[in-house]
Amino acid sequence: MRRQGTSFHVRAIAQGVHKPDSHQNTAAIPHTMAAVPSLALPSSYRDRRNRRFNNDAEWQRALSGSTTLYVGNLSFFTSEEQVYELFSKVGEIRRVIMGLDRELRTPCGFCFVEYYTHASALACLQFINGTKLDERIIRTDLDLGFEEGRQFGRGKSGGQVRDEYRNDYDAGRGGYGRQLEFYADAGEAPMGADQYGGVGGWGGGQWGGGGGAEYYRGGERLFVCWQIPTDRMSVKVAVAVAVESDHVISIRQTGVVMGLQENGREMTK
Amino acid sequence: MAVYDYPWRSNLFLECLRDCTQSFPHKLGLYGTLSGLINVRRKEAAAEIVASSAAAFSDALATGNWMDARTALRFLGELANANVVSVSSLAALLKQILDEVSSMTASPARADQFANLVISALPWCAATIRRSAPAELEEIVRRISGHVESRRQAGRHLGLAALRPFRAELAEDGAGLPYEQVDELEAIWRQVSGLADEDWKAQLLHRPHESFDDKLTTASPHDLPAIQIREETPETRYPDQSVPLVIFDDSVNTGERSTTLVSLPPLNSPSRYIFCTLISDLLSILAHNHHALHISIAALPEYLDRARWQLEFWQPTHAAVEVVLREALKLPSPTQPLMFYATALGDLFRDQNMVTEAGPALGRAVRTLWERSALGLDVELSRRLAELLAVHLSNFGYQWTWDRWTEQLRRLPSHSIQVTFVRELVERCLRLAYKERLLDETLPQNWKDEDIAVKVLPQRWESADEGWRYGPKGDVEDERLKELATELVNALRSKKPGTAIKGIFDAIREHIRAKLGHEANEVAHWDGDTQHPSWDADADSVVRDVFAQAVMVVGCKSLSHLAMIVERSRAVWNDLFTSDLARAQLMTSLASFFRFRPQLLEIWCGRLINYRVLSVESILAWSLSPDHLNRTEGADPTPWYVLETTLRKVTLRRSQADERVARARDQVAFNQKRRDVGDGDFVYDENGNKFDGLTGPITSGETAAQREVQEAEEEVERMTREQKQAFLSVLQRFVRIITAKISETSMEDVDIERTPWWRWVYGFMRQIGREFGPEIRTFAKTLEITVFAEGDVDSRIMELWGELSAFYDAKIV
Repeated sequence: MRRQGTSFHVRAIAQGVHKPDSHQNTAAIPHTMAAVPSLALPSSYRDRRNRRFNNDAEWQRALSGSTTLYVGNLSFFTSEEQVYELFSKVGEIRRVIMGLDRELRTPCGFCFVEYYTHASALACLQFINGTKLDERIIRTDLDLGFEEGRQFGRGKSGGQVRDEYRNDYDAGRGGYGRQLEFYADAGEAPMGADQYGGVGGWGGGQWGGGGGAEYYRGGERLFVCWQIPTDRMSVKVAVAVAVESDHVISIRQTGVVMGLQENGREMTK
Repeated sequence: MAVYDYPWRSNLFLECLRDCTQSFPHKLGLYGTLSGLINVRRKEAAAEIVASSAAAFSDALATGNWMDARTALRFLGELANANVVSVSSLAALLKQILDEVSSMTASPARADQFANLVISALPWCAATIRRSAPAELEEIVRRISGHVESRRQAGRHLGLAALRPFRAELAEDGAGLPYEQVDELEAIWRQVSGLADEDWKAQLLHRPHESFDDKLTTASPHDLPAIQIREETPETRYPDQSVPLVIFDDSVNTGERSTTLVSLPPLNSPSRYIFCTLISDLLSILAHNHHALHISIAALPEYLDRARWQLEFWQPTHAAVEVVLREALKLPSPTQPLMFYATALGDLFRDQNMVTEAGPALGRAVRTLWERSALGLDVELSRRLAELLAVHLSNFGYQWTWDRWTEQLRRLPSHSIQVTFVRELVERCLRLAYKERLLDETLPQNWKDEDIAVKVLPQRWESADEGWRYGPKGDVEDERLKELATELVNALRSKKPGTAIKGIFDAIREHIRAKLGHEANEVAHWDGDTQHPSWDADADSVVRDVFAQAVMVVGCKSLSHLAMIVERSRAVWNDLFTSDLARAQLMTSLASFFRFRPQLLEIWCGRLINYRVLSVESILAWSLSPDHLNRTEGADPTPWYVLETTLRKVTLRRSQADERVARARDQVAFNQKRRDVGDGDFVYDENGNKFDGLTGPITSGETAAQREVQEAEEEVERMTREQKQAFLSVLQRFVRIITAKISETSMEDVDIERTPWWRWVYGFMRQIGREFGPEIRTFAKTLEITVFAEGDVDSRIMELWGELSAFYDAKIV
């Protein structure tokens, strides 16, 4: 038996305008089957609050009426008014909460935008996500809603986590990654650091040898920086990690990407 | 899926086919030919395809999904081309649809919509019908022509007056329009009827079925099942037969290939129709995924007759730019948020197949519209274009041929629509960028010359609190008052208690009284009363001004600061701003504080309405103050921004109240459902949570739900009253200021309709009437009695009301 009007369901689900009837409607067609899936869907990112939910379906359901968006990859210099101007183009804004550096209390490149309606939030995912604000491509994602404390960066230095380990130079987000800057401020420089023109405080190289490094210092916060020297124009820096004493960081030379270890546990590759 | 799998997977196949035909209207030829080939191998499968496609059409008609109906009918045409559907049954269907057009009982909107369906399908199927049943085609064409002719005679082909993009009466120098402005049905019939010259075979369409004709003709076609067309009900809604904006008409699109910047088929040709309709269909269908949209637009030429469009040097990208702008500038409102069109336009520039053509085409389109805006472009469209372009430019580093405008900006007066457009564009760009990026790095340096700068460069303050009248740079000369004001700011910042703040108020009052008393003594011998009533009034008004400005100084740092300070000082607000006069004064203080920050003024007004500190009435009074409008000839966009924002806020409040009622009623219904299932059973809520059935006495939750319904309904009533009051007031004010202006200019022997003042103020009244049509139309009768009473009001205002009433009466989605 052909199900009448199923095509409408497929497209309506894909467009994010139609919710499957209920949990009992197990025959609902997943959006991935639609000819063109909608952009008005949350991303696959799960934040720490996901732990409250037993499964993805619950998480999705919690987001299904959300009026709040997380906005990322903003410049540190983007003002609340600029955010307001762009995001109010798809609906009335209830409030904007600028993300702040936990230590400095200055904008650190993200914000939450809360609308009056869920439809406005979806329209934002469809039309604003991936476009530019202040000449940077911004990323938006549905959010469960703002809670006090979430306005602060969760990185070790107070900003966003992604700015900790970033190894490129991004003028809109405070230059190099925080770890790299911290290292630079300490006046310690990795091998080949003298090739940098733009970063102050980097003295001559005190370590010999390129590639892998094993470094250990007990009792204090320690940064190990490692670099693959290439030509002046495209210096690729691989920077690692702050560790809290007592643990040896082992960095293997596997091309530009390295295994980083924090407290002996592998973090990322 | 191989055709052998069909018996096991027929549902999946049919669903996919239906979804694809409705999602990719430019590939119908392929799907039709594929169905034809299936018909050769498996006749019963093809029969199911026919049944499914016919069902898609009738479903779309039943649900009022006119876009899907149009695509489904075109697909039925393609099925006839591929010999899957019999031509006679298709022709019968088209005639059945035309029966609705000629039906005596059908409303004009319904007749137009059904005629539109048939006209839209003709390029896809006319050639086949002509080949097999020429008499049928002749009859179809004759019946459509008859309908179109009768519309022309009734003057309906010009479309609703309120929805025309260009208004001839506003044209400067009496110049006419470069093209004839007609409504959508008339426009598409002018294009599609050109098929007669191409022997009814649309040259631009790719016809894959022709390559398989020898195979396809071996199978026998199926008859379409009978399709029920549901009768019209009062709830049936039709898309508006808007008056489409043409940008690249034949005078722009000259066809001289070596020099022209735009290369498209002539305006009234079937090929132009096919380009534009496919792109506009894609814009509607793929609005939910702009990535897929631009990929489909870029791939569009592959599904058209390549030899044809390449031979003529036609550029599909030019059509895409025109259609995106046309849809964005549609009246009364674009189908999607304006942001969607900005993103769609940006995507054309990000697509490597289109980028080289998109830039010049957009440049040409905007310049054409800009130059033609003097020919009477609706003021709303000029503003919308500025907003759209600003978002677009912000995505592309504000690269634009700004220099091209320099000479005209020097020459044109500051209140002309062209200068105002540039001013709004710069303002909108500035809101998205930072000042130096635009003013120092982007705009031509000679725009800083006095004669251009005063016209287009908005004045900006470095910091938000520079409007602080009692600050070091403020215009108040009373040093003691400044001291007290600074003290107040510090008290607010340091969260001093209400008594301390009231103490400062008393000090200010004391100071003002003393000062006024001193001045009065100097001027005249005063009778010696200890208190003078007008001085008290003055002292109170100074206190209000100082307090309002102090709050702004503290709150202007960010919107969170604003929320905090307003919340904290709520009691003081309620004490100080009780009368209408006081609230009007607050609005004046606000406008003065943010006079160079229109965006913040808009946001603050919205916020202060929410906190019930500022009344809607006070904002309306400020926005439509005759003095300001006369001073700027109505060309200053700030009051209009504020007015629109306020009215949107009022509408939003009403819709929120509606939602609250709906939620509360749902909850009551759900409680009832739990009662119905009783003990031992359970029900699920909409989130899938399980709830036990209810028995026994009424629970507190149920009582609370009932109370919530009652409260929410009361709120809706209140909001409806408030909304009605706001719209009544705004229209009354418009009528009052326009009437006053008419009588003022009648003494001076000036044709008011040719003044910039008229263009802006009268134009904005039309815009408000159009934009808030759904709200205003609910009490149009009251308006007719109270505001637009025949005989009391000038005929030109009544003419505008007539336009708006006709728009409200039309059954538009």
